[in-house]
Amino acid sequence: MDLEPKHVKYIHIGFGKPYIRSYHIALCPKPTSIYIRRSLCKGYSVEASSISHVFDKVFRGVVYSTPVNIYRYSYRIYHVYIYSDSLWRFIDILIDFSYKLNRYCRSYRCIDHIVSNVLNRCSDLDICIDVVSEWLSYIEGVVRRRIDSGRKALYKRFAKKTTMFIDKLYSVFPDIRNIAVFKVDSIFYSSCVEESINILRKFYRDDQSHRYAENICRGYIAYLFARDSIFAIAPNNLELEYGGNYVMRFKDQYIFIDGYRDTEIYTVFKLINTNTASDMVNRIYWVSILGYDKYTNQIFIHYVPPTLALHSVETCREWLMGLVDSYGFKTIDGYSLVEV
Amino acid sequence: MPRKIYRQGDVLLEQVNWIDSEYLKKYGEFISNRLEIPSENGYSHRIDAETYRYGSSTYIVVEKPATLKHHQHPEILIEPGIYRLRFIRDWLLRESRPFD
Repeated sequence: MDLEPKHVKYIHIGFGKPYIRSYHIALCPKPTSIYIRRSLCKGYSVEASSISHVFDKVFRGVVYSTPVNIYRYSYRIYHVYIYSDSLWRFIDILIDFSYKLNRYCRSYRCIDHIVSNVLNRCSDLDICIDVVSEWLSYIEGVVRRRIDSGRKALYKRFAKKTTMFIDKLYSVFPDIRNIAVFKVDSIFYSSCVEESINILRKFYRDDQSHRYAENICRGYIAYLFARDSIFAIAPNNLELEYGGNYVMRFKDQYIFIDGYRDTEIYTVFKLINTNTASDMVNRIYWVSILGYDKYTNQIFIHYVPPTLALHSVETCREWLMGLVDSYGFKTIDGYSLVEV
Repeated sequence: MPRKIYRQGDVLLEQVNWIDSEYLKKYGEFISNRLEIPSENGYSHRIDAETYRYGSSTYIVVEKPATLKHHQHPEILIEPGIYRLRFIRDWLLRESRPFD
């Protein structure tokens, strides 16, 4: 944070309320409210619902009793303290601790247990900083391990489903094993759009090419398209590789199968492009439905929001038809669908 | 009774019950007695029904059972009602917002 403590003498802490008002932490040259009212102090706000329970308890237990001024402004109660490096660092670390404790603990009992442990060991501010830091590094380690295990589980799921359905994919789309890749050289948005439009124009209408290109160039990501055959558009340095338990990969962008459905009208596969490293899925770039229409003998690929990454193929198809929202919730009640 | 939604390829007809045909005829812009939507492969989806434009959407008024036809798809019998024309959507075709 670019704050200059040397010109500042007071820390104003505006206590908010969960879901009503955020917390406001500011550095001001005066203890009175005038600087806050005129927005002359440097500071930041923090969502009250994320920190208030822990922040209030620990802060009250350690320094709450000695403010030089208290005033009410903008639905907050401000407590003013004389600036000290220790106090400033304590507030900073306490906010971080409050955020992360909410992620670490799954019950209030756990939160209260850790908070009372912290308070029991806090005899003064400096010791308290050490105690909170100690808990913080422990919590961060546990949360990191949990996140990594979630990422590994996601990888396992995608790899397993890909292994399960890849033969079916090859039987419906035999040319997916050897697709054409159009490379986009430019790393700048406007020239990338121009380059992508020139490629897409060969396959799509102008307006459609334009829309695709605008969204393609917003990230450094490879996309698949399906017309007479399947092809890809990818940034220049992403080489295509096949193998293992994924459909294909462009460097660290792995494309997996996450679902399959076969009816008398169509066969569809849910494809997911992810950033994968060390058998962990770090990010989901896109989710799409690659299909074959049995009546028209045509192949198609449609993209759905990445928020549907864990939803079924059918939910993704319903999104394409506007029957569910980006989170998979029904937007239309009581309908009967007739498809051909 | 549940609303009907028909899909033929990329074309969707969604039955709407919040508008009646009198209102549509009065305030909507009459386009044609036939709805014809060209496909990318040169054929088109066709249905004989009064077509109106209202707001940013296209509606058809089906007064007696009519058939939605396309050269490559099976026909669908559309029951009487008012239908809004929609298409299959695509996340990659969403309107892109400018960078912050």
